[in-house]
Amino acid sequence: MKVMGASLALAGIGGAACTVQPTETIVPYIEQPEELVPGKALFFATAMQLGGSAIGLLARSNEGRPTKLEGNPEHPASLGATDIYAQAAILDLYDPDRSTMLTYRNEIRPWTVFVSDVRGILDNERPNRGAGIRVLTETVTSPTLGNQIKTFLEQFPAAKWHQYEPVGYNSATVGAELAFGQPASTIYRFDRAERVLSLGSDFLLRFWQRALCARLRRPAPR
Amino acid sequence: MPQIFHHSTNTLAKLSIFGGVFIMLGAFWVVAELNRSSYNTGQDIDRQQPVQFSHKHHSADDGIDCRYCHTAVETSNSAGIPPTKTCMNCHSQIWADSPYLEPVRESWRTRQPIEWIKVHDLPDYVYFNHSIHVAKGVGCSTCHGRIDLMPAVYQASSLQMEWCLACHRQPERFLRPKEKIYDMEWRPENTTAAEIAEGQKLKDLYKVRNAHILTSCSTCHR
Repeated sequence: MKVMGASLALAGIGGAACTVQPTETIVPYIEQPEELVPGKALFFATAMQLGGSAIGLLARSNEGRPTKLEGNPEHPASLGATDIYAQAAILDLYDPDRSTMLTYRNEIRPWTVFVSDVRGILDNERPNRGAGIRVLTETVTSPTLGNQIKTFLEQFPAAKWHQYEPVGYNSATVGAELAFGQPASTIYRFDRAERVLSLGSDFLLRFWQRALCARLRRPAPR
Repeated sequence: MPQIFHHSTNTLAKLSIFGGVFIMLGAFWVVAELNRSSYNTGQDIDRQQPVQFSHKHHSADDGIDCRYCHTAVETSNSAGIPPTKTCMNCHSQIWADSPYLEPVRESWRTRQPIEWIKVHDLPDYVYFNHSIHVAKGVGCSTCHGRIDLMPAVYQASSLQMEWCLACHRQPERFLRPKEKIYDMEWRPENTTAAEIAEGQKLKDLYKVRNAHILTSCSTCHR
């Protein structure tokens, strides 16, 4: 009994008084961004593109660190919904392989070098109207970027622009052309259907199908 | 046959059996006192900071309001330390060559933040929200003591759970009108019956929850 009491007391001493909390530091900003209140999250309206469609997002940022992605309720297509790719995209921001700078054949180059090199190449190509130039992008849905590339192609009419999408909706677009006579994005009206037969189509997977269909079936909760 | 044990062993046996209980109690008491000592809690210990910032000079002598620097006290869960820019607002012009301010200028020049020692440091298993305390009528000096008279900030309260509970069990003893929150000379505690009655009125006015909810575990241990 006495031994138990003594060991308890010693443990108490060790736990209570001998283990002192280590000193912590507070490290403020040097220049704090104006909207940022440390401890409160900031939300940024942004968009994420995947496979040729873009989804509106609200990115939650805690002291400059993005912590969560949710849908933007004001985005007319998604109405605040996200799909699994949008939810997983937060990890893209912490991907150690994420490119943070310009590279030329795996070696880092400053922007100025890129500009001067490209200018030289373009000047060489002007006589043959850019026949040796190829532009490789993913599916471009941005009207701004599309316009810029179009302007570039007007200057170099013989250049070629390749859009490559490893997993995209080309088949769906081609199928729509077969069905409706023009390339189109299909909006499914499940509220008008009694039965739905899906042959290899995961229509609940991508946000714009799911969100639009869900909201067409029942009114959005308020 | 001669006795193996001396006659005094009788007294020793009686003493130790009864004394053992007292020794155990004594050990517990020692541990409890050590637990409350300033070695463990950090109370009343002047902390040396990287910059010899005097609240006495800036607050009391110069009359700068707390919120000029601690901008997030009313809005965020963390009250925060001002960024270097806040110091440089004045000290790029006043005392611009003082050696006391060399760490601040160096921080501004090299864009490295100043690493302040965290004086009021709660353990990580406690969730503390600063803004709710300010919003409900807890004044600065109630918890932080007379910061405006401190040349170097020390922790005026033990910050142990029993200290927090003293208010969370009886909020009317520590509330003050919201206009007086930043008044450092206002009484930190309501002691007379009349003052406590005032505190009770404020508790109802500011909708401070009653002790049953304030002392529920998950209020702080989330």
